[in-house]
Amino acid sequence: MINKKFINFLSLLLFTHHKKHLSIFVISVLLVSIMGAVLFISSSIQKDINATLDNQADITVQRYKGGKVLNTPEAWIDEFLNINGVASVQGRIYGVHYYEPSEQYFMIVGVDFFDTQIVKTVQTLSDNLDIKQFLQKDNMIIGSGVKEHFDKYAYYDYYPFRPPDRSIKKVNIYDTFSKESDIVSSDMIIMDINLAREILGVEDGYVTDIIIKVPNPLELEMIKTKLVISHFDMRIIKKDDIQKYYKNLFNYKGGVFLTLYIVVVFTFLLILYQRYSMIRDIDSKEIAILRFVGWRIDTIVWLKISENFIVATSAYMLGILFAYFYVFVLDAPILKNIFLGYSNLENNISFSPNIDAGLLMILFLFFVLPFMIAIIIPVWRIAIVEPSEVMR
Amino acid sequence: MIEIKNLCKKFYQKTDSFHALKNINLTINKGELLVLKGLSGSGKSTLLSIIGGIMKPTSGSVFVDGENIVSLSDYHASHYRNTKVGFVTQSFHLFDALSVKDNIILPLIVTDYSNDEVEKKANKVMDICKIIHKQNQKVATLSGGEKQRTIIARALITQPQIILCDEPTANLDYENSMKFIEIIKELQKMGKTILIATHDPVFEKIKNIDRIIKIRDGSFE
Repeated sequence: MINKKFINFLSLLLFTHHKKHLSIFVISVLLVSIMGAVLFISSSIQKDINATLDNQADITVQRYKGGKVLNTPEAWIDEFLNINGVASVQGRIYGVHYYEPSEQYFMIVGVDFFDTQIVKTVQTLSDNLDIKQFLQKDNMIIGSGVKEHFDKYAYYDYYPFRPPDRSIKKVNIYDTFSKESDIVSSDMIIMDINLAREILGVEDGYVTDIIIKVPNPLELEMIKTKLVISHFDMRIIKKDDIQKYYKNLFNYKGGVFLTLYIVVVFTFLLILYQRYSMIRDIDSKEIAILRFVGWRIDTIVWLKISENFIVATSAYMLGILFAYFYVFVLDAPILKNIFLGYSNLENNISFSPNIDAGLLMILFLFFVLPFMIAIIIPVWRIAIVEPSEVMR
Repeated sequence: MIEIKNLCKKFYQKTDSFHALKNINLTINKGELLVLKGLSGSGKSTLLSIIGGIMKPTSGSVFVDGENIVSLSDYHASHYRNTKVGFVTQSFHLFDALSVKDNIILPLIVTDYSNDEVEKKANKVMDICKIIHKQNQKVATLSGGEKQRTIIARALITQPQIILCDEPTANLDYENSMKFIEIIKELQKMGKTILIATHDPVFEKIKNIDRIIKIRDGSFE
């Protein structure tokens, strides 16, 4: 029978039993915080990666010979433009620069600053870009990770690259990308396409790869077939393939964390079991007293469920709050490195809040259900025994 | 009226069993004060537990106002314990962390009484049991006599017709035992049916005892 008196008594029990609940409350908050933080990081990264992948080209073509990726002939661009359904074709120049002082790899990306679309994209990363001024000298825009490493060795204003022809090419640091874009730009160096060609040693008439824009997704397969027929020494990567790669990567990481979660839950259940074996006497006495004075079994079970549900739910909510603070305010120290470990440089990214209500609900069920089951069973077992037997 | 017919209780242990009650037959009239005397292990507490609805017998029946309480479901047995019986035990079965008043009102939490009615009833029984001055004190800080009076107050709060006292003075000193007897006399005046299981000679000082029954090895002498 649930009434105001019952609720008052429940509050009184929670207050007087706070010492009994404290240890399990702390463990629960810790558990939920860890799992919540993992979920928050994962969904935040996934959101950012999805946004980045959405801006990828529909098809990327690379020259591929004898299992090796080679520079792609620029002549292919005009060929591909003649295929029906292709909206635009563009050659890209990019490559990796080994920065010896810190033993780090940076990504050099050559950009055609006469292409308004590309300029717009670069401007979203760098607010201070003035194209005219930028192209007057050999300039580059660098990611914050690159900047950090350059600064370490006093390359504050410029950096001398060494192209394959053994010359020295001094390139001025024009600007640094904002920290918010770290997930994509931390290890990136952007410069004019011709300058990049020179530094990376890409011969005239060649590009690193070719990107193709296909507005109608239904035509993708047909265009891919036409590309395959046109040249045999090429590799074709669709946007879907890149997305699948990232999804697989996250599924793999998700699997690792699911295993970790199962282990944690199992440990948690053991702790609950041990705890309830230890305090069984206190609960037995209370249940027996209540049965003694005329409480029904279902009312007693309901009282204990309510008591522990409040403990579990408060622990869950506090754990989620801690996780939110840890991920979105403190930027998840330690865990961030586990998630972003595949990057060339240590990431200084800020996670953007992206909370998936479904995942939170799953975590709630996965946490609260075992918690409640671990309580209901012993309580019910005590409650059905004759009060006189428990009292003895 | 309580009518006990052919009541038997057998306890089973791993390889052994023993008869706590052997074919008990007894009729207790309304308003009667009855003392069950016997040594420890004679079966007094078992008999009280069965009448109180907190233990099931192996065989036999117990009729309270014409209803066989032995065959009641949990739902009805709980209602019986809540409304018809007040149990006073030798051990202090109380919530130590709660106050005297919170312990006393426990049986009324699952009833339809309003908070005001509960308050009135609690004050009344605390007054009878002379514990009202300790109402906000935690049970853990009370003396043995005060705990016993709290238990009596809790047993009385639902205004039950039957009061069962199982070795009520076992943990009390002489002075507190006498206080308990005073309360019993008050209850007797109120017309309650009272059963006291004891081996304490102090109860012989109660003048108006209707019957003293001696019990030994599960049978009446």
